[in-house]
Amino acid sequence: MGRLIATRLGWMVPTFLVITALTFAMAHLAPGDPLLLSDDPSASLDTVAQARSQLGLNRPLVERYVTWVGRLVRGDLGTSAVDREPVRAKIGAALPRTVLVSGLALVVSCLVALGLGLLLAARRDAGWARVLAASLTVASGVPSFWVAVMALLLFATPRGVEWFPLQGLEGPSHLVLPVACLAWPTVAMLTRYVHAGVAKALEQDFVRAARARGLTERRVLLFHALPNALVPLVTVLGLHLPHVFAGSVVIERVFGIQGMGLLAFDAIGTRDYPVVMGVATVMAAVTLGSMLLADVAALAVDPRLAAGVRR
Amino acid sequence: MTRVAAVVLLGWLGLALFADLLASELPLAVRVDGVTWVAPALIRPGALQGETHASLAPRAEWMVRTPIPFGPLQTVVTLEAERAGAPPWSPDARHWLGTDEIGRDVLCRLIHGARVTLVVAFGVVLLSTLLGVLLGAFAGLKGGAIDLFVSRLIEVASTFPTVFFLMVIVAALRAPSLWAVVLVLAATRWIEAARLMRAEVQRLEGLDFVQAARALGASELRVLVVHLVPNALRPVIVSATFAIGTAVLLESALSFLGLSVAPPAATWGELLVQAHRTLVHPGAWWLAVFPGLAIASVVLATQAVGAALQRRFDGRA
Amino acid sequence: MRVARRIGWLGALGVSALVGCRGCDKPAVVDAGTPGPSTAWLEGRLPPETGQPRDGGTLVVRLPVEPKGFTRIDDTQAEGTMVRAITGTVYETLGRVDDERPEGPLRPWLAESWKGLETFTVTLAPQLQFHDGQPCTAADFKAVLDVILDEKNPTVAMRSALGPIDSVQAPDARTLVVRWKRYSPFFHRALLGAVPAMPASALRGEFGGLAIHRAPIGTGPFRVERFVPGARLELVRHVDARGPRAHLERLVFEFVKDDLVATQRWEKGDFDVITRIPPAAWRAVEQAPWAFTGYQRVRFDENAYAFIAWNLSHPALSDVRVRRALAQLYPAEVISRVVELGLEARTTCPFLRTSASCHPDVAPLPFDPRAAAALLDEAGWRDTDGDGVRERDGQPLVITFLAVTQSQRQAKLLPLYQEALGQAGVRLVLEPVDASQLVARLRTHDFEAAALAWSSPDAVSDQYDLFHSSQADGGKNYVGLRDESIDALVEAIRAEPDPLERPPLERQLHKLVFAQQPYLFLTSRPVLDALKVRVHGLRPTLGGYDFARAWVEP
Repeated sequence: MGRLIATRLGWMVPTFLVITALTFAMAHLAPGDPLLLSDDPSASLDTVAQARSQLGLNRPLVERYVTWVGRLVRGDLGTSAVDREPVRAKIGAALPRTVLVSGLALVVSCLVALGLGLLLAARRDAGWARVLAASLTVASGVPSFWVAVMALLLFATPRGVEWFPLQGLEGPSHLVLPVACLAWPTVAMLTRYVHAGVAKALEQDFVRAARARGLTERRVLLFHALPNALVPLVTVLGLHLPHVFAGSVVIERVFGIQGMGLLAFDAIGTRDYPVVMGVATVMAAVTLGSMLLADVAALAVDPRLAAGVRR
Repeated sequence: MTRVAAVVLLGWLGLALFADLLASELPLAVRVDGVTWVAPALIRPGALQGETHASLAPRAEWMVRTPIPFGPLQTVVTLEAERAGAPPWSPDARHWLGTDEIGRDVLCRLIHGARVTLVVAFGVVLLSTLLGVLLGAFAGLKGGAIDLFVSRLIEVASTFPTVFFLMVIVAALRAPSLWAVVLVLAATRWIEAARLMRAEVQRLEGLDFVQAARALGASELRVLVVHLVPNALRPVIVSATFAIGTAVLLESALSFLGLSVAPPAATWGELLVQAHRTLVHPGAWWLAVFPGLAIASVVLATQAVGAALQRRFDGRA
Repeated sequence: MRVARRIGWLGALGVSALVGCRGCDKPAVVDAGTPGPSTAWLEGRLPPETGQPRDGGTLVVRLPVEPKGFTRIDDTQAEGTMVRAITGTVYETLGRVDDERPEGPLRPWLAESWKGLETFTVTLAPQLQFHDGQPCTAADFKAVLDVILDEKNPTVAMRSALGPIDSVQAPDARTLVVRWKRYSPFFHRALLGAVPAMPASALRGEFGGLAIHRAPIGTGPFRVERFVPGARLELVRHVDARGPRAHLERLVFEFVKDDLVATQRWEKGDFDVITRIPPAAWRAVEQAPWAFTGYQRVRFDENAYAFIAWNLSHPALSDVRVRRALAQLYPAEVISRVVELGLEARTTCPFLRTSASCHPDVAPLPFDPRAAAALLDEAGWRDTDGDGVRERDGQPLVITFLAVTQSQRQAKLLPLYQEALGQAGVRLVLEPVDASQLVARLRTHDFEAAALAWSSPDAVSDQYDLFHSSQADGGKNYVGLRDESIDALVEAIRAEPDPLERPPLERQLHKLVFAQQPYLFLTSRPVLDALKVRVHGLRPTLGGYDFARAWVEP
C-alpha cells in the first residue's frame, strides 16, 4: 500500500505541472490587463507599460511560469495584482467557506444516499419505492442552480415564505439552502450506486449464507450487504469530489457566498493572474488529493482490491 | 416512457427548427401596400424592416399571424398598448409566460433559446464523441507508449476542474460565439468516450473473431473499421446520449455565469440570470420557473432515451 | 410515462405555490389607519435639521465597492465617488469646496491662506498633526507632490490635473511654494482641492509596495482602526491638538457589493446609511411602512453624467450627421421608464447639469426616427440591397458596441437601443467585454461605441483632457475629437483667471460640443441613498457626505 501511494504521488507531480501550466498559459493569453482596470480610467499608456515591466508582465510566458513554480515550491503564491493583498490570505478567507458548504453537502448527500439506497434495496417491491426511484431520476436531470434560484424564490423572498436568508454566509441558517442545493444532484447519483451495490450484494452467496444462519434482515443489510456497496461508493465519491467543488461556483454565485468559486470568477474577470493561479493550484491539489484518497479508501474498505489497483 | 421522452426531444427539435415561424415579430404571411409576402420572418425583406405585427395590422389587407406574435429581440420599444409600469410583466393572455426585464416575451425567448441549447448540446456531443472515439481506439489498438500517453492525457483531463477551465478559456475569447462555446465544451467532454472506447477495443482485441480476421490477413485498418469500431461503439453511443443531458446542464450553467453565447441572443441560462436579478424586486417567478422546466425536460428526455438504448444493447449483448 | 408525469407535477407545484402568494403584483397597501409616506420621502428630500448635535455613537455605512486601496493619488485605485467617501474622512486637503457655493472659490482648510498665479504660495495652518502624532508640514506636501510628479509612478490622473509644474519648494514648515510654467485656475484648484496631506515618511520606497495604500495615515477627523479585507473598514474619531472634529465615535464602512444582499440587509436594519440603492428597490420600498417610518431617502444629483462615446475614426461615425441620427434614434422615453424607472434627468452638458456652465438653449435631440432616416439618407447611407441594413459604397452600417458584462444597466439599455436602431437600418452588434478590458480598449481607441460615465466631486471641472485634440493619444479623449474651435475654447477656459468670466465660455463650449455630438449625452445619474431616521447632520454634497458633521441619536 505504501508503494502504491508513492507511485501515485510520483505521477501527480507531472499531472499537477501540466494542469497549472495550461491554466497559466490560458490565463495570461486572455486579453485585458489588471493595470488597466479602474473605475475612473486615467492612466496613460506609457505608465501602464512601465507598471507592466515592474510586475514582470512583459517577460516570456515560460520564464514567468518557471518563476511562479519556483515561488510555489517555497509556499509563496504571490500577491493580488488588483489590491496587493497576499493571495494566501485571500484563499485563506475563501477556502473555509467553500470547504464548509461543499463538505457539508457531501456529508449530507452521503448520509441521505446511504439511507435512501438501503431503503430502496430493502423495499424494492413497494410502490412508493418505485416512485422514490423515479423522483431521484428526475432530480438528477434538474440543474442545481435552477433549484437554487427556485429555493430562494420560495424560501427566502416575499413571493414564498421568508424562512431563510437570501444571500451570504453568516450563520447556520445561511447554510441550509446552499448545502441542500449543492447536495441535490449528488444525492441522486450516489443513491443509485448504493442501491445497485446493495441489491447486487443481496444476491450473492455470502448474504444467502448469512440469511441461512438465521440473521435478521436488518443485520444482513447493515453488516453484510452494505460494506460491499461501500467500495464503489468510496471510489465514486473520490472522483466526484472535484465536481462538488466546481459546482460550488454557480451555487456560490446564486447565494452570494464569498468562497473559492466566486473568488475565481471575480479574479478571472479582473485578470488578477496571481489569484487565478492560486485558485487553480488549490483546485488541482484538491482534485489530485481526492483521487488518491479515493484509491486509499477503496483499499481500506476492501483489501482485495490491492492487486487490481496496482497497474 | 421512452416514447414520451422521444416526443419531448423531437418536440424541442421541432420548436428550435421552426422557431422563426412560431414566434416572430413578422407574420407568417401578409398582404400590405399591394404586395403579398410569404414567411417574411424567414426571408426578412428590407421593405418590412422595422415592421411588427402591431405596425402591420392597421395597414395590411390580410395577415396570418405567427402563433406567438413577438420576436426574440422585440422589446418594449416596439410593443404597443402595453401594461403600465416597468417590465418584467407577469403571464397574461398576451404574453403567456410573461416578459423579461425589457418586455421581451418569455415563451418566444424559450423557443429561440432552444436553438442555442440544442446546437450546443448536440454539437458538443458529436465533436467530443468523435474525438474520444479516435483517441480511445488508437490507444486501445496500438498499446504501448501511445496507450500510456493517452491514459495520462485522460487522467490529466479528468483532473482538470472543468468549470474553472471553461471560465478561463471563455474569458480569453473576445465575444463567445455559438461555435466557440461548442469547441470549448467539446475539448473537455471527450474523456468518457475515449475511456470507454479504449477499454472496449482492448477487450475485443482478445476475442476470437478479431484474431481470426487478423489471421485471414485483414489489414489493420480493415480490422479497425469493420470489426472493432462497430462493436465497440455501442457503449459509446449510450454514454453519448447521456452526455447530451450533461452538455445541456453545462451550457445552461455557463450562460447563467454569462460565459455562453453573447447577448442579446436568447438562451435559457440568460433568463435565469434575470430571474436571479429580480428575485426580490419584484420577484419575477415566471423568469425562473419556465426556463428551468425547459432545461429539465430536455435533460430528462435524453436520460430516458439513453436508458432505453442501454437496455436494448444490454439485451442484445 | 412516469418521467413525464413527474415533470408536470413539479411544474404545477412550482406555479401554484408561487401564484398563490400574497401581494404579488401590487405594492403593499398601507392601512387606512397609519399615515402614508410623506412627500419628502417620495421625492428623496431630507427634512430640515432640528435638534442639537450630540457626540458619540457608531454609524454603519454600506458601500457597493471595496476600494483596492485607500490612496487618493494612485491611478489604479483612482478615486471614484465611493473611495472618496472613505478617504475624505481620513485625508484632508489644503482647501475644500464650499458646500454653499460649489462653483465658487475653495475655502481654506489645512491652508490658512494662499496667493499668486504662476508662483503660488500657500501658508499652512498652525499645529497640524498626522494621526501618528507627527507634525504635518509643507515638507510633507512637497513629498506628496514629488511622488505625484514622478513619471515612474501611476499617478497620471493627478499629474495631468496639476498641469506643468516647474518646481515645488518648502522654505519653512508652514510655507509651500509651487511654480507653474503656465497659469490656470484649474491647476490651483487641483493642488488645493485634490492633493491629500500624507506623511513624507510613509512615502519612501517603491510606490506600488507602500504600506500606506492599505493603511492610510492622514490628518482627518477619523483614523483607521481596523481593515478587514472583503468585509469592512472601521474608523474611530481622532483627537489631536486641534481637538475633536467629528461627533461620531466610530464610523464603519461595510463593503457589500451585491445589490440583493445590500437590500436584504437594509431591510433587516443593518445599515444606518445605505448608498446606491438599486432603482427597482427604490421604487419597491416606496409604499413600505418599515421603510418610510424608519428611514429618510436621499435623492441627489451628483456632478456625473452617463453618455455613449462614438469613435470618430469609424467610417460612419466620423460624419456628424450620422451621430445626430443615432442620437435621434435613442428611445429616451422608453429607457427612462423601463431602465431608469423615471429616476434620472436627461442632460446634454459635460458640466454640472444645473450650473451656469450649461447653455440654457441646448435641448436633447428628440426621438425622431423619420428625421434620423432623412439624415442617414443625406449622409449617403441607404439600404440599396434590401437586406434591412443601410450601406454606403458597399459598406453596411454596422456599429460594434462594447457591452460591459458586469453592468445590469447596460444589459437592459443596450437591447432597447439596438432594436430602435435596427428599425432604422442601423445594425448594432454587442460585444461583451469584461470591465477590466473596457478601459484598455478605450485607451487604445480599439472600440466603435461604448457607454461610459464621468463623475467629478467638484462643480468646477476642466474639460481639457476630455475634448482637447492633444489628449486623443494616451489621454481621456477616447473618442478622438479633433476640432480647432473646441481646442481654442478649452485652452481659453483653462487660462481664464476670473471665475465669473468662465461660465460664458463654458456655455459656448457646451454648445459646440453638443453640436459635434462626439458623445451621445444620456442622463445625470442621481445618488439614491437612505438614512435611518436617527441619523442627523448628513447632507449630500457633490463631494459625497461629510461624515464629520454626522451625529446619531442614542
